[in-house]
Amino acid sequence: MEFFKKTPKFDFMGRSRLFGTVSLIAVAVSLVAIFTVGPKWGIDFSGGTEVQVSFQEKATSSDVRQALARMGFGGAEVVTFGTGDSEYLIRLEAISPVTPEAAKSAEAAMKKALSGYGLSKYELSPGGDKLSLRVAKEIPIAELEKEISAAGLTVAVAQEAQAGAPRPKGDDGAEATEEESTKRCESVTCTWPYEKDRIYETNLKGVSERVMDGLRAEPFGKGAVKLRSEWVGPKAGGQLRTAAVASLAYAMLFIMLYVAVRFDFRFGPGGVIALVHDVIITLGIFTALRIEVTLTTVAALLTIAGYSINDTIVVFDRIRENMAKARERSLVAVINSAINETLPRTIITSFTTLLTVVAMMVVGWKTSIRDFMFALFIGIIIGTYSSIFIASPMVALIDRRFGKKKA
Amino acid sequence: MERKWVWKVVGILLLTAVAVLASVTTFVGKPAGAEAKDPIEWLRGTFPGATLGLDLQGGLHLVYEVEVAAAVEDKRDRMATDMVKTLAEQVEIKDVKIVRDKEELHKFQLVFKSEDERASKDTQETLLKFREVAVVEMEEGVTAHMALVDQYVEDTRDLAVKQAVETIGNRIDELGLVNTTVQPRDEDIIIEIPGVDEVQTGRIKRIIGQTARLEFRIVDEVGSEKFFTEASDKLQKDGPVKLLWEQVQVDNRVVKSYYLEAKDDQKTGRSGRQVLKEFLKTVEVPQDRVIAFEELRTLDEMGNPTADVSWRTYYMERAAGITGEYVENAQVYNDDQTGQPYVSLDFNQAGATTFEELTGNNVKRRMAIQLDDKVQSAPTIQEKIPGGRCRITLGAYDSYAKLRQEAQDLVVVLRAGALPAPVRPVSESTVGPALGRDSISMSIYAFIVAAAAIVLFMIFYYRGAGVAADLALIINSALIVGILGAVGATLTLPGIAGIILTLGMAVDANVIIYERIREELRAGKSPRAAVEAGYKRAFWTIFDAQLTTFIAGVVLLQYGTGPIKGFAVTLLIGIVTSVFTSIVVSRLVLDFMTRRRTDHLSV
Repeated sequence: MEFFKKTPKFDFMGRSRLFGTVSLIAVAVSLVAIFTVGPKWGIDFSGGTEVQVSFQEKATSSDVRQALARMGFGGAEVVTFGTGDSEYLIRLEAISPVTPEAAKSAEAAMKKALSGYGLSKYELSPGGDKLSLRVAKEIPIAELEKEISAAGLTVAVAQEAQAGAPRPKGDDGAEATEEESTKRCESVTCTWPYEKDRIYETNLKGVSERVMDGLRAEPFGKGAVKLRSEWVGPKAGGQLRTAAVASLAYAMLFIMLYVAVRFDFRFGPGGVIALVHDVIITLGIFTALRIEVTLTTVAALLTIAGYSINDTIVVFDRIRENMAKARERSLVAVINSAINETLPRTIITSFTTLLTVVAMMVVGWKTSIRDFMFALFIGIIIGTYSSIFIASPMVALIDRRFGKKKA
Repeated sequence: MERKWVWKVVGILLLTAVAVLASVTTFVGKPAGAEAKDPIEWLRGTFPGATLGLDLQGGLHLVYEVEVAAAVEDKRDRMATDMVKTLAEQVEIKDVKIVRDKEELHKFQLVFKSEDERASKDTQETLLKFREVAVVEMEEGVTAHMALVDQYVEDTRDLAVKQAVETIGNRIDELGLVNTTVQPRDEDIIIEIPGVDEVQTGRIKRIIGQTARLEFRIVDEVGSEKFFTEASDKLQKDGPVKLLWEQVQVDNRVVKSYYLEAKDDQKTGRSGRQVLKEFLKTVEVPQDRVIAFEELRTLDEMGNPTADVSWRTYYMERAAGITGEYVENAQVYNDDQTGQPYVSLDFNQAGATTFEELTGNNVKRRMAIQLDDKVQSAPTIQEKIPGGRCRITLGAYDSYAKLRQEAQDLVVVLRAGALPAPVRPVSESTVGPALGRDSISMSIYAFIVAAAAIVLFMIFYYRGAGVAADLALIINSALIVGILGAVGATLTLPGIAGIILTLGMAVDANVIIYERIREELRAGKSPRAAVEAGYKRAFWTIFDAQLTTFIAGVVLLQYGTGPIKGFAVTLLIGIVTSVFTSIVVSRLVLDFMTRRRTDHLSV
């Protein structure tokens, strides 16, 4: 079978102004959307907690939302995942299970409750998952756990971390009194606080653990199963953002260098502008549709960049070949025939690639790669369009502007 | 021509056969149970098989940040105090004040009582002795601006991360889980533990969060005989646990000191420590005794450690002679005379007293240095050690580099006990096993659907040549899976997506070639000449086009994490194999077809 019995003769170059304008508008709109509204960053970049849960019995998303609100996670976003109404993805901005206000009141309560034990250090870890206490006297673990719960924190497990070290012997062989040891400490550099020699470490439950506990306590959630959970702190988010931007920049730089070396200077910019165009519009569509931009999306964008330039190069290659063959024809005509000659290939390859992407999108709608596939789906269509309507006309444009000397 | 063609076909068939063989280990799991025989064990040696990533088999991925700034600050404070102390003790320059820089944690100032004191030769010479600290500015006045040397700051940061990796690694080992990885990445520690469930996850996080416990205990050589010979009644004959003894000296007598030893079992993935622990559960250890484990590396004839790891026990007095909180500092030094590296350990005031007492009472006995329940080394106490500084010498027969490494490792461990740099969680992700199973079946399904759709389309659109392209596609898939199995790659969900996506893009090379052949045919060439020209002309187009995608893949590999790396790996492998199969394999088929019927080509 053949789409075209003869080599097609569409006038692509003649319409390049029209498509150029359309693309310019699309890029402009996308950029405005990206910089004003902003993409919906996934927790990879913005930080936050994500829990994917499935219930044995049916539960509506508003049930889940209300249950979360009762646990104190008011702003939770709950989306259906998969086909039925038994699987949900819960997204929370919270990273620490303890809000700053709760941490403050807990500290006050704990300090008061443990004042009898000679509390000398109280530290809640920045992640809100660990509480370290240093006290002079032994606290029974059960009592400690009770006090921590009373202060509004959720205990995973409390334990004594470092057993009290024996106090040094005094001159008479008996254990040194507090006074004696303090005195010894003063005379020399001494970091050993003899009188404060017990450390307790309490691991507190993280956000996802608290969410699961809460959901299981709810009547509808008896069979709640945690399928997946993830939380990313702000620091990791920042690192990932930097890495993502760097990777996109490097990919484009290297591709441009390669094209410039393999072809000539007239081709490089066209290829890169086309792929920047594809990446921006894909991101714009993601922004408009409020689809999360995650690490996986960035991987998809890089793949799109690779695919788009791949497509473009096949056309470029033909342009170069035809340029050598037909010196008397104008560059515009050469480009136009090159696009037409490679058109069947462009269509078929996009088609087979889209076939696989659609297959995965349909089958894998429940898994985490659906956004990845969706990004590829959009990117491949735009990439195909751009290699014909953007990259190739750019070659003619650059040649008109800067290529006079050579021609 | 005819013969060349046959050889090429044979070559490709062989390659495909090897690829199929290499993918077997990926799909055939190891039989459960220690005794069950693995029918393809011989194959696993050559082709380890691809392992499933955390997203497919379920598991825990944790990232912790080591607060290296705290370590640097701590080091600076110690150095500053040390300097002031040395000035006071050695050159009688007293009451020098320390001003710590709040912003730049490696900087501080020494404020002297007078400018004369600051500028005196004694001061200069004393300060110069501290190689880790450099004078930044020494203008007029009473203040000397100091800073830790850059290299030293860097070393401190590195060491802090190493310590944390060591400590966390130890703890996870202790849980007896297999295939876990603990790796540093800049100042972060990445921990990956496959196949754990919700309950275990909580436990693992708790254990990582603990503060390390470093203890020095006296080995009970004499008591070990009675305890272990009695315990040996319960030992299985030819079981994994062996009872052994060594000769040691105690109070000028030579005695037999007994211990148990067990090897790591590669097949079951059970560590020797786990085996020993389980055995010891069956016997009763006296109240005042405790048992810990040391890792032993079997050495080959050249004295290099082999992959065989076994564990031995130490039978020790329960009362810890001294604990980690007494350790103030540990450092590697070289002996002035022999040049051998050794570890110098400083205790604080209280520790010094206790340590002197402990060593005085136990001369000629072994003292085990224990971190959590792992014994790091058990040197013999030669004499009473006063002054709160102890020197740990290591085995004398190793090479300098190895000894130095060992000494550095010990320093890491010793200081890990003191944990100068706290760790805090940065991100965490868990995938339940159910979701992983779903993802696997989905990927297989998607692979079949996508492959079938492409295969049918190619036959529909290119007829005979389509069959050639399909053959190339099938061999291509076998090669990708084979390479993944041969290098023991990790398969992730995006990785499988990469393979499937490659299927779609793999036919691209053939499409380029076939469209070209059609053009040549239309131009009036004979099928044979058209095939020849089609492949020749299309080659560089394909090369250029695929290379740019390859570049994108390399960048992905460089910057991606976890699952995305998996995608990049399969994408890269797929590009290479697909170019090969679509050019070589399909060409052979077309050559075959054009030879049989020279007047017609089904394309």
